[in-house]
Amino acid sequence: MVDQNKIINGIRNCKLLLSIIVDNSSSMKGEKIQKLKAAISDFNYYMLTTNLSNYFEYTLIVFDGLHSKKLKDFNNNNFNVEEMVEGGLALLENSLQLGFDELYKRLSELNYDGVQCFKPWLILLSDGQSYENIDLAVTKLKDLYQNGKLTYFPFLLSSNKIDERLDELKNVKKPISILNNQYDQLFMWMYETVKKRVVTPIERSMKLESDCFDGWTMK
Amino acid sequence: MIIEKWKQSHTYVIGKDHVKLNQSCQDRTYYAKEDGVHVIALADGAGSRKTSEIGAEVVTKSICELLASEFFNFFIGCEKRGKDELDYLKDNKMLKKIILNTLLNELKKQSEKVDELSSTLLFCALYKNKYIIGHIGDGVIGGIFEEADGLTIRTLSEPKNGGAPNITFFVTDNDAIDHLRITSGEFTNLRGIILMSDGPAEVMYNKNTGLNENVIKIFNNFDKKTPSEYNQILSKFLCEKIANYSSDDLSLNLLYLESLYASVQDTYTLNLLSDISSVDQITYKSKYCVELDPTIKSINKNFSSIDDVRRYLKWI
Repeated sequence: MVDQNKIINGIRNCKLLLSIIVDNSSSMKGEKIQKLKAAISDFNYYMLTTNLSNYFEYTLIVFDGLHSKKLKDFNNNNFNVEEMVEGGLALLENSLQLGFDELYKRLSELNYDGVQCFKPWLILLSDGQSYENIDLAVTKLKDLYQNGKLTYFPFLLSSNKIDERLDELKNVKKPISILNNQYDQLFMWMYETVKKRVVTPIERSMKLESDCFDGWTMK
Repeated sequence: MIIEKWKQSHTYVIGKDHVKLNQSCQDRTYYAKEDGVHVIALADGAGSRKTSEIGAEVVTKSICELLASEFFNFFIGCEKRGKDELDYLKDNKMLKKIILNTLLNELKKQSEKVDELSSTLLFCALYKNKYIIGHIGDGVIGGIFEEADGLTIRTLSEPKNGGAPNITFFVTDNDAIDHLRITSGEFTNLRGIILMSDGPAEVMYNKNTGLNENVIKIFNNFDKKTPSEYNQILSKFLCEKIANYSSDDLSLNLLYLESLYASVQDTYTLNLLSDISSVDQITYKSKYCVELDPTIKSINKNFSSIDDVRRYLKWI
């Protein structure tokens, strides 16, 4: 459980925004997508049953045919994870752009309402494929990440061969590969890390524990 | 009882002109199947490029694999129903971009000089009665259909050349997106699809009358022959008959829904059941007609022998 007093005393009126881009393309069919859905569902449940949702908002972007779809809006925690149907085309450029747009749109809204925000996070959960060139999105990501305007966590959902079009993305930050579809561990890590971030004062950066990826990611 | 099952045959043979010039055959064909989706492709490598047969091989394989795994996304993307004109055009352009990007990416793995890998491309993907057809350059795509008075042939996609008969459009052209033609929809009573390069098209296609009736014979002759047997027959047909009229490389790729009366005395028909392992791979089209498709993935294993399937079908 999150220590409510600590949060309220430490960072009142301060929010963390997360844009999570989830790969639900054909390569995720079967057990992988089922495990991913279960992990997302648990993550959302934990957020709702603790008071963390007061200090944190996230959006979920998924592939949807020829387009990208916002499966969950920042300020709506009641969504149906079953709407994440496997088999969308892996159009990463499209999804990354939607991820950025949604993130900074919400950030502006909160800032307008006088809510202070942490540096936003972009979490990319890819299965290593893209059917379109991602040059524009990578340029934007590089700019935001290297200029300290964004925290970026890239993950690979399996050990599938990575499409060459993702090479540029690897150069921004090397993705961490999830071991044996342990997506529950990934979202548990996400939950714990968010918890840690929101109790860390906004002016201080947060350090990840050196062993936080042990057991569920590839070395 | 009538048993129906898709089968495919393809071949490419070198033309007389290329033999004289000591060149290799630049036509290539490919077939992929996955979970009820069947895709055939054919490409004619540019005669003026030295390694265009490599390009033809790459693009046929890539498009088949792409459509076999992403058929439904592409079909929905192509669909006109429920979309306004602007959205439809946007989706159509997006699809062409995805296809061409995927092909160019694969070609670049072979050589940075993609122009040397130039080829035309013809493809057709089928899932039950749904289809996606794509075509850039010359060659012809045809379909045969079951009508009340027998099989009929229709030209589904015609050759498009760049102003002169010997100039055509290639996958690697800068403006390929403007020349790639994609159509989709649902067929009624489809029995087969044929792709042919410009070599055989010189003989079997006329721009005013379309594909001629001889094409139907190509399908009829496929009855009760295995794909590997028929590949050899097609090669012989192209070398001995078509090559008398065309000196170009010659290639054909056909997908055929074979339809046979079930008979226990007939080993060929019985063997059609040999790769069926699940009830999910059997579709009743009517009380007396079943379609078998072993490519359909199923977690159930209901049959372990031909006799098991036969008993299930009540084929005595």
